[in-house]
Formats: sequence, C-alpha cells, structure tokens
Amino acid sequence: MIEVEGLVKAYQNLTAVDGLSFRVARGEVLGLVGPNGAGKTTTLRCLAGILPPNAGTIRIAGFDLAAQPVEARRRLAFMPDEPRLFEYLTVEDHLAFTGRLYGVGADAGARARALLDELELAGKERALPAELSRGMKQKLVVACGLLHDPEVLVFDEPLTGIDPGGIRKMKQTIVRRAAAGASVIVSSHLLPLVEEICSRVLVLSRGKAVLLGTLDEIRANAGGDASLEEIFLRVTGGS
Amino acid sequence: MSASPSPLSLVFFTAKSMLRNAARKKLGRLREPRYMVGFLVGAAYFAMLFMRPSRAGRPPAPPRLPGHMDEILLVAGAAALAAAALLTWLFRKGQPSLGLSEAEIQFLFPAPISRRALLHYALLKAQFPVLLSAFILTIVSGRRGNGTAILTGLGLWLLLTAVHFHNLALAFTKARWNELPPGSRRATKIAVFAVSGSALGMLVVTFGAGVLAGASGPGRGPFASLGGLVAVLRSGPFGPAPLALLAPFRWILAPLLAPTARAFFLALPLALGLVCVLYACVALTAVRFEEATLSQASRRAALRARRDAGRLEALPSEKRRGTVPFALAPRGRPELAIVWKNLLAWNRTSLRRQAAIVASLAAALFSASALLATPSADAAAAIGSAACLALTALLALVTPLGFRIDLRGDLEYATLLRTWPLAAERLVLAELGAPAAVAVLYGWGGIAIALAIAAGRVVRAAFLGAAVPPPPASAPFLRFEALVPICLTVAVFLPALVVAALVVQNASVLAFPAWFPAGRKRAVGLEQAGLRMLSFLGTSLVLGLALIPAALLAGPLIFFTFRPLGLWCLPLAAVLAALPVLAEAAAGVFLLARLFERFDPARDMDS
Repeated sequence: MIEVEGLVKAYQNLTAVDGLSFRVARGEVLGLVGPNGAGKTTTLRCLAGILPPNAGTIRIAGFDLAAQPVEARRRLAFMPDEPRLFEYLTVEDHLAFTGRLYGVGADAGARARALLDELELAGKERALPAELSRGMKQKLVVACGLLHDPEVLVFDEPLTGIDPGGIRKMKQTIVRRAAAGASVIVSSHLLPLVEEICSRVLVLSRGKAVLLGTLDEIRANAGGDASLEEIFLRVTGGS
Repeated sequence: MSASPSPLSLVFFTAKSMLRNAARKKLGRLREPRYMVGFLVGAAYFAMLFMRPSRAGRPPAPPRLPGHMDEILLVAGAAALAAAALLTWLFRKGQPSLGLSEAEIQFLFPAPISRRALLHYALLKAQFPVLLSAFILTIVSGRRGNGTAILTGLGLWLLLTAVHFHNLALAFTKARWNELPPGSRRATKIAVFAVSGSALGMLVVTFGAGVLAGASGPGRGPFASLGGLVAVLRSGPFGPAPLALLAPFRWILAPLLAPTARAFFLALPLALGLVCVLYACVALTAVRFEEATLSQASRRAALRARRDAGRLEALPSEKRRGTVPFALAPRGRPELAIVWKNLLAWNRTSLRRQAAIVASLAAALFSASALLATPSADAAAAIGSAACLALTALLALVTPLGFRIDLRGDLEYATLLRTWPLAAERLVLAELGAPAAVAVLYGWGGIAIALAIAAGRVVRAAFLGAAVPPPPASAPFLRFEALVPICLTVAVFLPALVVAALVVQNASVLAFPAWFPAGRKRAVGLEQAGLRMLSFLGTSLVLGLALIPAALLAGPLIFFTFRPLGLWCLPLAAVLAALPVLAEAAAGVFLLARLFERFDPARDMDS
C-alpha cells in the first residue's frame, strides 16, 4: 500500500508538488497523468526516496519513508522513464547484483531467468547495456525492479521505446503484479494506456491533484460519456 | 539555382562555427567563479611550464648535430618510414573511409555536391589535426638546426600530410582491388604482397648485415659515419637498390631534417612534388567510400560515447563477460554486491586469478633471486626489492584515487542509489570498498614480491653456503633483516592511509559538487586541469593534517623503542599510527553519509 499525505516538494522558486494526498491500495493500479511540468516525475521521485520532500509523509507498505527508509525501499521498485544501467555490467550481472542488494535469496537465479523469459530478454544474458536497444534497457530495468517481488511498483512512462509486442507484455506484467497484490502507480502521457490498465486515475496540474477517482467516477463527475482525453484536456486547461 | 558550394568554403564555415561556439561556451563558463579559478590555476601552471626557459632571456637553440649525423638521421629516418609504409601495404586493410563524422555524413552525403568536392572537403578537414599535430610537435621538439620553428613546423606538416595522403591512397587502392574479379584480385594481392615483402626483407637484410659487420669488424661500425652507412646501402647484398628504395622517403624527410634554411628550401620542391603525386593518387582513384566512411563514423561515435562515460577501453569480449572478480552469492550482506559491482567497473577479471599471477611472479622472482650467481646479483636483488616496495606503496596510494570506482563515479547514478535499501553509512562504506580492496591487495602483492626477491638471496646464502655481502653503507635498509620490518610497516599502515585518502577525495566531490564534478566522465580543458590541480592540492593538505595525530602517536613510540627493538619498532608504530587514521576515516564515512543524504541529483549533477 502507498499512502501519501500533504506532500510538498519545492525547488528554489517553484513548488513542483503542492500538498498532494492519495492512497493506492493493494491490488490497485493508479494512473498518474498530467501535462508536462505538472509534477508527476517529482512526485514519483519523492515516492522512491530519491528526492526528500519539504513537507508531508509517505508510507510504503506501512513504513514511513522518512523514518524507516531502508524498510520502505526494500518493498518498493521504481522504474524511471530514462533507464539508468551500469554500462560495465551485463544483463545477468545486473540481475545478480540486484538480487544480492535486495536480499532475494537462493532462488534469485530462477526468478531472474523467469523474468528474462517474461520480458523477452532471454538470450541477452551476456549483453552489455551499450548493445541493448532503448526498449530492451527499459525491460531490463523492469526485470531488476520485479526481481525482489516488491509490494509497491512505481512506473514512470513504462512504455517508452518498447515495440508493440513488448507493450502488450508490459501491460500484462503490470496488471498481473497488481492482481498478485502489489500497489502500482503508472505515470504516463498515454491516456489510452491509463484507461486500459488503471483502476483509478489521479490528474495532476501545477503540482496539485485536480481529479482523483475511478474512471467511472471521473466520467460521472464530468457529466457524460466523455473520454479520458477530453476530461483531461478540460481540467488541465489544454485545448 | 545557385552553384554548389566549394569544399573550402564548407570546411571554413564548419571550422569557424565550431571554433566560435566552443570559444563562446568556454568564455561563458568563465563567468562562474569555479571555472575562472580553475582557468587561472591551469593557465598559471602551463605558463610556468612553457615559459620557464625564457626566464633567462631568449630560449637557447638546441645544440646542432654534426653534419654527418644529420645525414645519418635522414637515412635512418627514411628507412624507418619505408619499413612502416611497407608494413602498411602488407597488412593494412583497404577501408576507404574519408574520416567524416556522423553529422557530416548526414548533411553532406545527401547534399547536392559532387563526390570530388566531398573528397576535397575530407582532405581539407583532415588538415586541421595535421596542422595541430605539426604545431604541438614543433613546440615539443624545439627549433632544429634550420633556424626557425616555422621551417620545422612546415617540414612536419609536409611529412604528416604525405603520411595522411599515403594512407588514404593505400586504402583506396586496396578497396579498388576488392572490386576486381576474384582471380585478378588474388593475383594482385599476391604480387603486391611479394613486392612489399621483398622490399622489406631487403631493407632488413641490408641493415642487419651492416650491424653484423660493425659488431664483428674493428672500429666503430658502419653507422658511425655517413660513408660507412651509404657504403652498406650501396654495396650490400642487393647493390644500390636499398638506397633507391629510400629515395622518396628521404625526399619527404629532408625538409624536416634540413640543417639550414637554405637546405630546407633546396629540399622543398622534391617533397612538395611527392605530396602532389600522393594527392593525385587519392584524387584519381575512383572508389566507393560511403560504406567505409559510415562504418568508421559509427565506431568513432561509439568510442566517443564510451570516453564521455569514462571508459576508454573497448567493450569486453563475449568470453570475458563471464568473468567476475568473485562469485557473488545470492545471500549475504548487500555491501558486498556494491564492492563486486565496482570491481567490475574497474576490470572484468577474477581476483583469484590475479592473486595466482602475483603468487607466480613472486615465486619466479624468488627462484631467479636464489639461483642467480653473478657478482652483482645481491645488489640487484636488494635494489630490486626496495624499488618494488617503494613503487608498490606509491601506486597503491595513487591509482585508486584515479579510478573513481567509488561514490565519485556512482554519483552519476545517484537517483538509482537513493532507491537501494541501504542506510547511507553502509552505502558509503560499501562504495569505498572496491578501490580500497584494489589498492590494499595490490599493495600487499607488491610487498610479497619485494620480500620474495630478498628472501631468494637469503635462502641461497643459507642453503648453498654463499655469503650474502653487506649492502652499501649508504643504504642499510636494503638488508633483508631490515626489509622485513619495513614491509610489515607498509603493509599495516597502507589500508588506513588508502581509506583516509579515499574518504577525503569522495568528500571533496560530495561537499563541493559544483567545483569537483561527480561521475566517471573526465572533463577536459584548461579550467578543468586547474580544478584537478586544486583538488589534488586540497586532498594532500587535508591528508597531511589527518596524519598529524598519527605522527604524534607513532613518533614518541619510535623514539623510545628504537634502541631496544631496532627497525621492529616500525610495525608497532604503524599499528598505533593506523588507529587515529582509521578513526578519522570512520568519522569521514559518517560525514560522507550525511553529505550523500544532502546530495541533490537534480541540482548537483547538472553542472
């Protein structure tokens, strides 16, 4: 479970996230959408413990990220929009390293192989990041993230650079993890993706939540059968 | 419709734009205090380096060689050049690349300009590195006998241009052969291989015969005088053919090695003529250069990307990718995973294998030391072991600082590090583990080798009955009895010193990220050189201060125990001295952890 209460993150002369509160229950997929500069990536980075918030609390699987950061991170996986991989580690090295880092245990190897199969990376075990396409790098980041079977999954633009077949697999992976009890946040500009896989949607604009609810609730509030895209453009002031 | 642009105008436009933009960027950076300070320090250093000789007035001209030595240099240089050229004809493949960048290919290949113009563009563009190399080599070599640096520079430019044109002509010619029918291609290659091989063999045999004649005959040998050298080339087993073979190479070298300005201008027409001939070979050989140019541009771009990321070496081979420093068990302390990862960043090699290599080397040197029976073997072994010890201590301290396989390098991945389930102190300690392990293990390996060399002589004295002569009075520490406590002292103190140095270096990057950038990428430029010097000075100063408590503790101990214990007081003092240094390092780790928590990737990595 993810619990965010009164989250504030400000830079020198910009409040990127302004008093944001929401919860993501187990088995739920929350879609985080908003225009460029709305504060989506900053929110996700705060959730992942990369950026310390100026105010507010974040609880990951019941652990306060500020008070018990190690326990919280142990239960979290953050998949950034830009895959950062160690260029001197092969695919299998990355998985071995992550397995030890998160204390996966003796079945780390079996889990790694299963993930490589699931994400269509089998046969690339000895490849270095320089030899992988953008989509494959993204998949490797996801494989590393899923290796320790996290309770909380945070995806920032998970489909960037992935081919259509890979997109379908990735969507299945996200839905399957949620069905297995994980709390998932997916940030994306692809509104059809959000409509397809997310159980609830949070629309951010200028660091504030302007809409939060299930798709049906949002549509009902918008008064009709409007698509998410139409509602999104309406509430964020887009044309 | 306007006419196609000339290659010259294209080259000048791109060169002018690149230089202007680079200058703007550099000057713009100097508005920031750190770059200005770095620039001033770097400029002062280089000014001191280059202008030192002129403090006493005009820089002295290098001494002129005797006349016959100029000639000998010319013939020997021509022979070396000829050998290099023949080797390239024998072994170099025909890749007709124009040496353009990916951007140039993208813009120029589809542009409405002729192939000839494209070729001229590439030739003119290549003149920039040629001119720069000639300029640098002129500065480095100083003025030669011809009187002016300009003539030396011109001579170098002619030589480098000829080499460039020759290599391009070779690549084009060989590429043309590849377009021949298979039978003709094979015949051509065999013929050229035979001719080049024979010519090279002739040179080797001629010079070899001359050396042998000189070694066996009376006097100074044939190469001590021009007459002797020319006689060997004229009257060797192949008659005057070698001298004729060297002619074009002498022509191109003659301006550079001309002893006077007059000799330079006399040699100039032949050299220029040769360059023109080579140019004609390049310009008149019609060959498809697109694919090779594209392929080379991609390779260069990949190399640049690796260099920008701090990795100069090529990607490891498929075979080496299975090699890891040690097997990383799936269970256990996560810190070890970070050490493992950073060791892989340093070198994809097994620690066990490296230990075996060091052990084999120590065993081989021990055996050699024990078996050598020459009169100077004792002195050589003593000096060898002492030198090995000194070099080891120095390298163990300096190299891990340069590798940046610690927090300094990993801060590039700060956003990822922040998500790892580790307390900051544990993370910092783990990050320091790899360079510390490399330094200490290699240091201890070197100490083992030093001891093995010395032990060989002792074993020889003990078992073969040979007396070990006393070392020179000026170096009593070269005795084996002295070497053991000294080695122990270094072995004990080295880990503490290494860790302290690593803490200071990492702290400088974390505390002043704007001044000393994180990441493995090595920035270039005068201001960056200055900043590196400041970093080195700062580290030395802080490390010096950190060693004061150690000196205060160890000094009295040595003073009071030297008389009863002799040099064996040193290892004890090292243990005592290591304690405060380790305590300071522990405090440093705590400080580093706090600095890491405060480190903001968005703010601190932008610079």
